[in-house]
Amino acid sequence: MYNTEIKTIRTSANISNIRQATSKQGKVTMKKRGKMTMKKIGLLALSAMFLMSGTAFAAGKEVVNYWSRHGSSDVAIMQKMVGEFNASHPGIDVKLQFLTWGGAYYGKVRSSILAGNPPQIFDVAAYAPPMFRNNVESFSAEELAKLGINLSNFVPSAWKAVEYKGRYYGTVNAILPLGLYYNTDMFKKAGLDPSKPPRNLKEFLEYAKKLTVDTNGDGKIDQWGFMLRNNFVPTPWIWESILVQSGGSILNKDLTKATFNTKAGIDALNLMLNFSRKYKIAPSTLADTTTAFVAKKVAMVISGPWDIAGYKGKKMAFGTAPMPQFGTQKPAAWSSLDIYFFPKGLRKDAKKWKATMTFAAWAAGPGGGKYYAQMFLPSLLSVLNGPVMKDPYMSGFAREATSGGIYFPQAHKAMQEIYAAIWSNLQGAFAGKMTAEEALSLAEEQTNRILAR
Amino acid sequence: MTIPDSGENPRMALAAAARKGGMAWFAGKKASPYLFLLPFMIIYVVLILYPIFQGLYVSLTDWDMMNPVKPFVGLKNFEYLFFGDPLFWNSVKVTLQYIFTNVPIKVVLGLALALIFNQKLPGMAFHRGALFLPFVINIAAVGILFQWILDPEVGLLNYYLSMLGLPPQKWLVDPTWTMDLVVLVTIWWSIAFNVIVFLAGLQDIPEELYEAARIDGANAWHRFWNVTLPCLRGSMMFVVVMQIIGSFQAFGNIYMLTGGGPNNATNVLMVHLYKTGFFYFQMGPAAAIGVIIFIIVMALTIAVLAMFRKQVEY
Repeated sequence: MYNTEIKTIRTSANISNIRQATSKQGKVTMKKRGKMTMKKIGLLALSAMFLMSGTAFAAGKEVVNYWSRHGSSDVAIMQKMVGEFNASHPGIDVKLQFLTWGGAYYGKVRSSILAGNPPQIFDVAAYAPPMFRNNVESFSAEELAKLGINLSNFVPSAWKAVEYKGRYYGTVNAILPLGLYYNTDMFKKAGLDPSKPPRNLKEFLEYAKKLTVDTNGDGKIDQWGFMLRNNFVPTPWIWESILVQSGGSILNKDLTKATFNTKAGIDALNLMLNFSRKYKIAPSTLADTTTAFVAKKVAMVISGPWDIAGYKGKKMAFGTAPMPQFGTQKPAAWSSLDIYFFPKGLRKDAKKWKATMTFAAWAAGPGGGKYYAQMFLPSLLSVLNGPVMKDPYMSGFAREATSGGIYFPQAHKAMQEIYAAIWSNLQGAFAGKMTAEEALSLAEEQTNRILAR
Repeated sequence: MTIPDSGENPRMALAAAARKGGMAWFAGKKASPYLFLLPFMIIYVVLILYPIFQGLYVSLTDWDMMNPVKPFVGLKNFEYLFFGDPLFWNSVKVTLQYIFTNVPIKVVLGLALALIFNQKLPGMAFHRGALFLPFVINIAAVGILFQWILDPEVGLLNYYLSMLGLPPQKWLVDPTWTMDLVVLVTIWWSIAFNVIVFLAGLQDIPEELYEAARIDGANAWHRFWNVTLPCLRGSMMFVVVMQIIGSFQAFGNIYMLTGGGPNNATNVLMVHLYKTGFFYFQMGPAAAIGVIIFIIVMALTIAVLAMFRKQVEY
């Protein structure tokens, strides 16, 4: 069809040229102009053909819309991941869209589900499953195996976190535990061995004291051993980790009552307050630890693997290690997950479902695993125990995850609100406006009100 | 509809045809104003009226975004806010605190700056422009900018304090400071709006009034009190009403700077509404907060308008 059109155009252009050629005046100019016009028309026709064929080509693909809450340095890595998948799967076009992380992200996803136009995939954190359980597709272990996801190949606790009454809600790609970041240059200067980061409270305090230095001799500390972040991420989770290390939990097993206002909870908070007040290894205020770590104002911080790519980008000398055991009973570090959810009803569209699950299985497997390994800990054991364990930055987190030193948030649909209630009261304690007992007492009251709703 | 080709005026033909079809009213002149208003009315109904009544309706239901059934619960959401919500009364207190510091300072300072900028001094055009510059910065950028400036460990302000030999302050980390800082940042960001309104008002005051006052022996203070202020009544009313409404609606400046913290010290009603609705998905109570804000703002606006109702004539 396109060829016929070109011929028609060419013919009319030629007639025009012949007519112009019969004219004595401007004979040569007209000929040139005619040729130019022909070329332009030909190019336009070819471009149109190319574009139309391109559209037809894209139209033949099954489009999978994927919303992600990730940002910052993860964006480029995730785009590469999706790019590789699209290139290796000509029949599928995964369209990745980044939305701002936070509570509002879940609001947008909820709105899209309510409006009947959700993406085929949206990723969520570990505490989100109870919020969406009624609105997403679930799988039996056999169904997952048929899709190429054999659960025995993955970190069991990660999949356990999305399991409810024998069914798995979503697919788990990665684990995001809290761990210790430390500046290896500062360790060396303080006479500490960077290959032996602190593992418990005693070692941690000993290291932190050596790393708390007045570098310019003006009588003021300008390099702190440790610092806590002035943010919801991850300070309340550090407190919870210490609580869990001492055998406590935020809620009871039935998820009906707050159980953190106990000796374990109060001791955990007092310890965090005493890093500054008693041990003098941290500044008296919470601060932006990410910037302070880059600016070399602090030697050790606790955060998740999401900071690694950013620090690597700054070409910093740093190492990572499992979160030290500050509590009395066991190692435990709060951990999130990267979970893919698929809105309920997606199965009805067989083609869309197949394309979506092809991508989801690929992302959870070695294909996506090598990209997730650059950002977080892939939940696939072969990747986790292989390249990730050898990665100098990821290995600290990987050791923690494979040794059972991590746990996931309790599965209550108001967990985000409960964390916010706890965090606001912890802030009061850190600002010196209330004692640890008062802060946790208020947080307990607020949590129980939320649970009673 | 087919218009017969009778050779008569097409408008007349249209009117005649409309009359035949029972559309006399629409074809006549009476419909014209309404047709001109129609585009606005559509926008007004869809974007203003409908959301108001929908919000009111949501506040009376147990509105779960994921559940198509929205049971009517009467005033239970309001009851929850008053007696069950752990943060509602704190938000009311914090909002009033914000309003009672933000509004008077911005009105008085706005007027003072307008009086200064109304003087015929060299470079005034530049200074007026400079004052207005912060107002055109996106509030998200303002929030992030001041988070960096006010960070206790790596912030610019503490850095300069330490260079002066002064101890670092906890700024956004200490609940004692935070609201004051939010107000200061808000003033820096948005004072230009008030200045411009007052400046416009000042430039509308006839010079003859000042001349007459001078002849009567009025000094600068007398002229300000007896001429400037009464003549600025309209501008003042506008600024005060706008500031009260704006302060109740304050969200971006506070949310971007503090997120409502620390320890809920800046968790004003709008921030609380946002978190309740879009973080915790409690749409009923969130809509109820919206209704409460609406009622308070309306009552205050009526009160302010009543205060300024007295006309001034010269």
